[in-house]
Formats: sequence, structure tokens, C-alpha cells
Amino acid sequence: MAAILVTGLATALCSYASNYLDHSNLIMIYLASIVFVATRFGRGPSILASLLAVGEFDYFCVPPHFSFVVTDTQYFITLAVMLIVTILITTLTSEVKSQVELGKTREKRSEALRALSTDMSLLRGRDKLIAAALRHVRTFFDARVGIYLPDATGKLCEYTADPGLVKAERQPSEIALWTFQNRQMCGLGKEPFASAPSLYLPLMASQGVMGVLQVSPSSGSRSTVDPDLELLETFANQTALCIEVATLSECTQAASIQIEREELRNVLLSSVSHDLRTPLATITGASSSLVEDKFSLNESQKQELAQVILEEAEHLNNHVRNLLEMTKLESGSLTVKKKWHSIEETVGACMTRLERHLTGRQIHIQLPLDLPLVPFDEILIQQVFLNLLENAVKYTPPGSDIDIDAHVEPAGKDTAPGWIEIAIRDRGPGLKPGEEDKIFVKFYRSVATSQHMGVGLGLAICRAIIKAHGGTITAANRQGGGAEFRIKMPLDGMPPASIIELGLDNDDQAAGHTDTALSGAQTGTVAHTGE
Amino acid sequence: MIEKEPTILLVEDEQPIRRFLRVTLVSNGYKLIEAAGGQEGLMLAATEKPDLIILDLGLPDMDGLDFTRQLREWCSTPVIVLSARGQEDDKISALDAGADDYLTKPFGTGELLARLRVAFRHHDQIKPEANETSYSFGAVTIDLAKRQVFKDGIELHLTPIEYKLLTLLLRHSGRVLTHKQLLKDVWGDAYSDEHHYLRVYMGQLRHKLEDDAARPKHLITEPGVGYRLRIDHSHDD
Repeated sequence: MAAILVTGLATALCSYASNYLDHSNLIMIYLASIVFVATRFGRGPSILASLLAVGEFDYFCVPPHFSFVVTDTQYFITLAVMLIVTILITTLTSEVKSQVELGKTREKRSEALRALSTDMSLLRGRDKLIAAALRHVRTFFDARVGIYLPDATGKLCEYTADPGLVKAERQPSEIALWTFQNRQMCGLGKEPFASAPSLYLPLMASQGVMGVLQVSPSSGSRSTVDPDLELLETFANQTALCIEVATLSECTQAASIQIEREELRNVLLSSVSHDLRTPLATITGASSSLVEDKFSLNESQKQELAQVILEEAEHLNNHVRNLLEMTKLESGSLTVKKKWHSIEETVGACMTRLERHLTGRQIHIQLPLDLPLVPFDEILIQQVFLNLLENAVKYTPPGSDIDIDAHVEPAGKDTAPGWIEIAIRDRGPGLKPGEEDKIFVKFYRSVATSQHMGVGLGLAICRAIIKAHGGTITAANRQGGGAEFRIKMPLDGMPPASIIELGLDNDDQAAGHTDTALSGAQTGTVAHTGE
Repeated sequence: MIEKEPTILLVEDEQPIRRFLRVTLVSNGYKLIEAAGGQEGLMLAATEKPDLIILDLGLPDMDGLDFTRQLREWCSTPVIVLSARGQEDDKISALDAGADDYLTKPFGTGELLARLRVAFRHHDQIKPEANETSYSFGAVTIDLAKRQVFKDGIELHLTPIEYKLLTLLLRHSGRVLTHKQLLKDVWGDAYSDEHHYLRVYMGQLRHKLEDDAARPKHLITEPGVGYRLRIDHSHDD
């Protein structure tokens, strides 16, 4: 149609111009129109245009006009050459055009492959790799896709499938299984499941078939897939290799976790059995003495044995407490119940609890009077303080000082308080270089402290608890000797409204006293020095 | 104390604990009745009319809350609950339901005897302020008639809420009062969850009454449970 239109136009132009131009220039107009048709519409239309052009030139321009009869024999040659030249132009032009198109298709394919391999090299983990591969197949082939992988027992199962993919098929899992076992493509016109609307490709990797890829083109016909079948197979192979690598690395990881877990269990067993048995042995020995040797023991000896039993029972209680705590923390059954608490009160409760152990110690507690309430779980944070203080008592010489202080650190440019930092410092032997972080690792015990009891859980529990509060705990050596533990916890959330604002105690005004929330007017630090 | 030796009902399913408590309590001049379960305990409480009940929270047939509720329907005998770590919620609900005090296992004899003394004292004189108007602990003296509080002989200025809180603790001195009980009594029912009020006011009270607020000797925190006013430092642990 276009060919007829264009040659018609050329003829109209020529018949108008034939009065001014000679025939050789008119032929040029026809040739130009043929080139135009050939580049725009391809081979068929341009051949038609060539024939039409020659005919029309003969009919309109060659005397006698308006007749196909050629009187001058010279024109035979003109017409023949014109026909040959136009057909030649047509052939050459359409060839160039198809070359360009082929190049474009190739480029599109290699672009798709490149995008796939980029994704495959960037992504980690089997699930993500498979999702990416399927996405590429889905968009490139305009198809619904699914994948079948063998499960832990080796049975081939549907791993993932686009919605609507399964319903369309009669027995997709059966076809997938055939593909898996025979390692051959089938479905979508290919026997033995030619009637299936999906194509099934085996995912071949270096160690054999990894699974099956199901591709169901939305056109429902094979024709949309066929030109790019090779590409589809490349996609499938690439996906298969990635699945293989991911599966292998998952296996390695699982194995190393297993080894780590077993090592941990061994360490746990040995330290638990040691740390539980030692006090038990002492208790058994001392109490059996009291029972069996009651006549040979004098009062002070009996008293000493009883004292040993009491102390060892306390140790045992601490070990069990730590073990339970750790188990709870690790299993995630421990929930952090954050409420607004006073650091002073929690430190005070620890002091009450450790009263007996702290005799003869100088404990300097320096807490600013305007310290705000802090959101934390009272029981858990008390546990942290107790563990740190017990450590300080255990690992430092009797009579040496322990310092506790706290301050608020503003968060960046904000004027609102950001963090509370609490430090517990001692004057003991301090930490070995490089030990600062290791001491928080479960069951780690400093070489310097190995003669002391304890399963090496106390600090690990502290770190787990503080972490659960969104904070950090760090250890360092203190200037002038000793160790220093710093706890940082966020002051997140809105502090509770001031009690004054709630008007609960408004009768105070008359009495001349005011109940204020830990009076903000008082600033400065009060030193509490005990014993 | 009392002429007749006081009778204690021990409701505890663990044989070794019963054995240890039997020796300790009998040697300290108490008469002991034992029950291995909650139902048996309630029955014995009705028939034997003990002066005090020690209740374990880990009974196989009944939880501490149910026991306390049922008991409190008809009897005001003091109850001390024994709890293990990890039974914090049971402990608090038993206390809120009318139990008088608690001990966490493992506990020492000293602690146990101190709790018993406090429980008996409160039961014997239900309203201490009716008999006496002046109390003192440490360097602090409280004159309930004049509503005045002194430390080292100098009058302290307490706000009404601080005073109310202090007298409430004083009325139950030696006994634990849960956060809920304190908030309800001082602020009212609607405030029973506003725990931070207590933190603020207990802090203020400590700064006024204690020598060192960070090492309290009298206004004692029972973490997760409540507060206790310790009057006699040497006996209570």
C-alpha cells in the first residue's frame, strides 16, 4: 500500500516535472523513492515499488505517453537497467536493515544476561538469588514462572510460583519430576508433555540437576519463546550455578555453626561441672563432718564448717542464677519490662543487697542530684550492677576503693538528654591489653583471674542485658590503675510528666513546700561515701 | 511475747525445705503444723487456727494467689510467702491479694525469723498509732499527733505526700508494701500503675531522712516488688 502510494507520488512529481527535466533526472526521483521504501518497509514492499516504478515510468514518461508501448529501443535499455538497479538497491538496503535488527536483538539478549549475572554476583542467599533469576525470566519472556527444588529429603517440591501458574496446569509437579529425572526440556509442544502450557527446563549445574524451571509465556504459544530459547537455557544454567553455590555455602555455614555450638557446649559442660562440683564437694564434706565427727569437733571448728557450707551454698546459688539468666536471655524468653527508674534507688538496692560483702570497702557513689529517671528494667539492671560490683569485690584487693558515678550525655545538637552513662571503677589489677572486649564473651576467663570461681557468665549477662536495653557496656583500664566499666543507656521516650503539672499535690503551696520531681533546681553533685 | 507458743502452719510440698524449717522453727520456740498441698493447708488453717502461715508459691495443686484469696475470705492470719526466682509476678499478686510478706529462696534463718517477728508484731497490734504517737528509727523521730518529723532533733519539712507515704510505711514497718498498695493508698486507685511517682517521692524522702540516699538504711527498695521501712537495722536483713 505504502509502496503504491510512494511510487504514485513520485509519478505525479515526474509528470509535473517532465516538462522541465530530462529523463535521467526523473529516474533519479524514482530511485530516491525506492530507497525510501526499502529502508522504511522492508524487502517485499520495495520490490513491489521497484516494479511499479518501472511500469509507471514507462507509462507516464516514456513516449508515447500513457501507454506501455515503447517505440524507441533505447528506452528498453533504460527500463532494464532501472529495474536491475532498483531491485539491487532493494536487496542491499533490506539486508543492512535486517543486520541492524539482529544486532539490536543480540544487544537486548546480552543486556538481559549481563543484568542477570550482575544480580547473581551481588546477591547473597539462595532465596534472594532465585527471586532475582525468576524476575529476569519473567520480564524478558513476558511469562509466569515457577521453580521446583528438592527439599531436605531429596523430594522435588514447588519452591515458588507466580500466582495463576499452578491452576493452569494439569499436573505440574509430575511434569517437573519427569524433567528433573530425565534432565530434558519438555512441555509447550515438546513431548512427552506437549499439551502442557508451560515449558519445563532442568536447572543443570556442575554437580547435576539442581531443580526445574517452569516458564509459561502469557501468549500461551511456543513462538514467543523459540527465538530466545538459547537465552532461556543460559538463564536456567546461570540460575542453577548460583543455587548450587548458595546451597554449598549454606552447608558450610551450618557446619561451622554446628562446630561452634559443640565447642561451646563442651566449654559449658566443663566449666559448669567444675563450678558446680567444687562448692558441692565442699558442702558435702563440711556437712558430713558436722554429722559424723560431732563429738571430736569443738565449737569454733563446728562454726567454721557451718560458715563454709553457707558461703559455698551462696556461690552455688550465684552460679545457678547466672546459668538460668543466660539461658533465659539466649532463648529470648526474657522480656525487658522498661519503666522509669531512678539510678540512685537501683544502686541503693544493690548496696543493701551486698551489705555484708562490702564491709571494709570504701564505695564512693557520686550521683548528680538532677539525674533524670531512666527507662530500664529494674530487676535486670540491678543484676548488671550486682555482677559488676561482685566482680569488683572479687578481683580487687580487700580494702581497695570502688567508685560509682553517673552523668547525662546530651544527644548531639539536641538539648534533650540523650544518654545516661554509669561508670563503676575499681583499683584492682585492671585488664590485660586486648582483653577489653573478650571479657564480655561467654565463658571467657581472664588468665589473671583463673584462680577465682565463676563460670565466666557474669559479664556476658551484663552485655546481653544492656544490649536488650539498646545500650552498650565497655571495659577499659583506668588512669592510675584498676578497671573501669562504662554503661551507656538511651534516655528514649518521653520522660513521665512532672508530678506538679498533674496537680496532685497542690495543697503544698499553702504549706510552703513543694513536691517536685527530684527538684531540678538543685544541681551539683553530692558525694556519698560509705563505711 | 505471748505466753502460749505461737503456732505456724507450713504449706510446702518440698520435703527437704519442710525438714529444715521444722528444725529451725521448733528450736526457736514455735509450734509447727505441716501441709504438703494447698487444699490440705486451707483445711488445716480452718481447723487448727494457726497464728501464722508460711506458704510456698510452687504448690502442685494450687497457686499462691488462689490460696491467699480463699484464705482471706474468712481469716486474717498473717501469711508469709516463699518464692523462687522467676516467680516475681506470683509473689506480687499474692502480696496484693493480702499476703503479708515474702522471702525469696534460698533464704537464711536470720531473714526468716525477722519476717516472722514483724508479722507477729503487726498482727498483735493492728493499729500502732492508736497506742503510741511517736516513733523513731536511726536519727529520725516522727510525732504522729503533731504531724512533725525530726532528724537529729531538727524539724524536717515534708510535703503532704511525703508525709503520707512515710506514715503508711511506718504503719507497716518491717513489712513490704507493693507498688500498687502504696500508690493506691497515697494517690488513689486511679494511680496504681504510675510507678514513677514512687521513684520520685521515695528519692525525696531518702534525701531528707537518710544519711546517704544512695545507701539507704531504712527506706529499703525491694526491686520489682515495692518498699519496706526498716526500723531495726540489726534484726532485719
